[in-house]
Amino acid sequence: MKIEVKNWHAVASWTWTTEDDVCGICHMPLDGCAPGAPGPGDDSTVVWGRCTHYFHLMCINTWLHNKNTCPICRRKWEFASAPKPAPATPGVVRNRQPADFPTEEAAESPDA
Amino acid sequence: MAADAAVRHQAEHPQLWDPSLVETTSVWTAVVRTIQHDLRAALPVLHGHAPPNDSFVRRCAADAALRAQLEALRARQLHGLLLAWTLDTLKLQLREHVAPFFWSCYRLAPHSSLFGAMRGLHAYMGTRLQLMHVLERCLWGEAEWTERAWDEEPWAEVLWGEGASRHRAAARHGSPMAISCEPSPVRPPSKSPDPMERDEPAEGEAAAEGSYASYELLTSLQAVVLAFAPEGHSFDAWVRMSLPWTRLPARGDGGGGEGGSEDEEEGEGMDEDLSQRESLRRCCVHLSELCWLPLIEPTLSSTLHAHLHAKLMRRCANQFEERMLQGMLSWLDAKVVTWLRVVLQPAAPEADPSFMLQQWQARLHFFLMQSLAELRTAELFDIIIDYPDSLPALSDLKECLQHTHQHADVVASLSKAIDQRLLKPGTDTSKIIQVYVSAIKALRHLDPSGVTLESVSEPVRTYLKARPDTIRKIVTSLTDPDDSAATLVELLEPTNDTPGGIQQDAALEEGAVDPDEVKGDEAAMFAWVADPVQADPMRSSFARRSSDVLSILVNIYGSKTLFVNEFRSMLSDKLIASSDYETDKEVRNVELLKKRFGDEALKSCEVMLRDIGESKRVTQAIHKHFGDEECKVLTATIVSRLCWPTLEDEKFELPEAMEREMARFEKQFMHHKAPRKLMWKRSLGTVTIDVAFEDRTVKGVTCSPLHASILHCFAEKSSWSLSSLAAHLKVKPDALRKKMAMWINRGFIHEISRSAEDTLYEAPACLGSGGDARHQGVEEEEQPAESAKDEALSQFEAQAESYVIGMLTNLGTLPLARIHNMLKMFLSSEERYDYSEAELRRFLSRLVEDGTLEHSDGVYKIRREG
Repeated sequence: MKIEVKNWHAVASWTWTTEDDVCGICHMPLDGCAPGAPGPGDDSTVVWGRCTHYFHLMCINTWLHNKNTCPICRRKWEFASAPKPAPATPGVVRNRQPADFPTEEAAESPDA
Repeated sequence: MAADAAVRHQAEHPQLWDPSLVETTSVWTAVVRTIQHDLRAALPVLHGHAPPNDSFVRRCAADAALRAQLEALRARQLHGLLLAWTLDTLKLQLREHVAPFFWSCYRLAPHSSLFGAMRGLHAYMGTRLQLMHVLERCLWGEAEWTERAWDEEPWAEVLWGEGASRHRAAARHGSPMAISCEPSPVRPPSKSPDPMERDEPAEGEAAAEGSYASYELLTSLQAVVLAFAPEGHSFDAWVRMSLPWTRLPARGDGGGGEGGSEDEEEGEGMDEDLSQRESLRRCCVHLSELCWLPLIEPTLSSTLHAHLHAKLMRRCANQFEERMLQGMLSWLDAKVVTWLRVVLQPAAPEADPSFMLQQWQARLHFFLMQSLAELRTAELFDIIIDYPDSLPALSDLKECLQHTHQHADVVASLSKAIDQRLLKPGTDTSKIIQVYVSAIKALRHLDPSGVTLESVSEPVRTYLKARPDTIRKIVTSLTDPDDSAATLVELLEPTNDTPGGIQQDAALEEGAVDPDEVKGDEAAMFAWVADPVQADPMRSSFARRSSDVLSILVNIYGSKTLFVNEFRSMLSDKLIASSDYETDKEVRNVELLKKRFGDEALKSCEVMLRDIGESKRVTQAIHKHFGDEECKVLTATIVSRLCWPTLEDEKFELPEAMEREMARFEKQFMHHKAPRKLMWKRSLGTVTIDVAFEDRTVKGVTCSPLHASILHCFAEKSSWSLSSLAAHLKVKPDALRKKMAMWINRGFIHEISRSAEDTLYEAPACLGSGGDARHQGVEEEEQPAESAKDEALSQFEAQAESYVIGMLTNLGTLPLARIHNMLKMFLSSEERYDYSEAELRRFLSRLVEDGTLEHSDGVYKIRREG
């Protein structure tokens, strides 16, 4: 007997690569919706500060209207870029086209 | 005899007999003899012979001597005595001859000879009444010695002349309308008794005395005839025979309606030939002049009722798709009432209906409506099932109920039918829901106030609440129009009259403000009707009248939250199971539900649908990034876990290639969607594989990832024992055995041997002919959803347990009800504490068994060691 997988439709859930589960400001799960946000994920983005604390973007924005500090450590708030792992190497691949890579990024950013 | 006695007395006591007495006696004797002769001579009239030529009346007219004798008696004040004697003698004759004659005729052959008997009786009574009349008149000194043709004229005219109405008024005092079969006082025949006339004051009793004898005679005829009636007889046969359009099956049963009688009863009343009708009319004239109508009325009434009932059963039973009431009523007027006119108003059938006839007509109308209402009430369950085809039947019932007010019967009968026919363990839940929805609509039509619905639906709601799959069925039928069972999809379509949908209802329940007033809808305000008295005053009339079918269904559970949650979990199952990212139908359903339940309630469903779209884009982007063929095998649904119901996740070993592919996918996702990572739910999803044997290849087999992994193992090594396979895949052997069932059923894997310790499986090289054929329909194993649910449940129970222990530690001992209430308070918000007390008791007794708690005297407490 031989089997050939035609399609493997897997299911996964995503989660932010954070250590804490909840936003320090709204105390809602980071994976859930920020207060007032229409949905989780792209609609309730999580942002990092240079102090390595992270909050819902909407929550920290509201906070920053009043104070320009991190609500937790009181240091001056500066946005840091979120940790971004390197892309996967397009593996054991026969027809890899290096040119794909930059265009890929450009194509993906709009739906982020 | 009296005369002989007088002669003897005269001989014995001559001193007592003065000449005037002697003269009087001889006059008396002569008169009495003449009357006796007349009485004897009149008897043949009964049998249809002509009245004798030398009747008393005639002789009075012709014979001056006889008149003089009568005058003489009157002068000596003996007229009263004579009258009384005549009456007594007549009564004796009635008892001895007339009544037996009548009943012998009747018994012989009611129909044919009865008309004859009636004619004879009538003629005979005519001569007797004439006799009494003349006697009376002349003894009161106002005799008119002319003979009148009694047969031609209505008796009333002759007997009472101008004073007829006065006599009627006088007689009425002592004789209410006779309905019973008891010998009843005669109601003197009425000529044109319209209601107005009845209100006239009675004009003097004296005038009535003039006809006392005739009146008395008619009364005693009735009494005597009835006294001689055979056991239990009340003219039924006669009435039945003379009903032109029926040969009724049997008295009163009326059921079934077949009975061998004619089915085409239409037009028979008309086809009845005129001569027969005329003879009936004449007979009824006789009856009415003998004042016998009250005697036959009860029979007439019961026979007509039986007939109407039988007719109704034949015409209307199980016929729901046509209005029947009006047709039946006009049939009643055209046929039955026309016939009744002949019977009850024989003197002038074409004239305006008499008051009595109007009463009869009203009574029959009412009876018809009552019977129809009873019939429809008994059939209401079937009518509801046939709704909306049965709308005409409902309208009939509604109209009948407006007259008969049998709402309580409707409720009782329908509740019973529902209990006996619907709320059975064997009935499919969706069927119950379907019937309930029909019932809601049908009873709305029947009773817009909603009271009937309210009283009937309570048991259904309680029952549905107890069924575990009710919500699921409702949601299925709401969202899945292909489901053949019940389609409630139309309920989701927005309705104009309930703009706010379910969200408003709660607010309306609370505030007693009239919504029409709030809206300023003046027309609606003026159209206000009071609720029926049976209405529950606790609920506002508006809620009862207006809440729509869907909100009634949703409110079975008291809130929409459960409903939405169920929908969410169904949506989740559906989305997880599909692998093609197609969501058009689901999007539509969610949009529809949003209209009813509000955006907020369905927010997470929206997120779920967005996740699917997003998953598709991400998968495509990742495929594009890798750009090779291998990666195309893996597609993924990536969910926002907090917006989805809890998804089960069982850990097991995937095929190595797939593991690699998934790792690669994950890594690219982390890059693409940084800073996010993936958590695979390995057991979820769908795998499509082609399975190749030496003899043939089975294409497009879909299965779960675990199934695919199992098969993959067998592709690598054709023989596995259960334990080694379980160890390889890192799953429990028991669970694995269940999963194996599917492949064994399809013939892809064979069970070689089974022992207590282990089972040996082998993959065949060739599938063989029987192989794949067996798979249809036998793939059922345990539902993945169930295990997820169980897990959630045990999680919930663990939480409940900690709450219970906490509260018992703090408060010492607590009774069941307190624990129940406290759990409801603490757990209700997010954890959906929906235990009933009985369920809680079961849960707690498990804890008692575990040794965690103690239960005594109806209170629970923590078990303490020692």
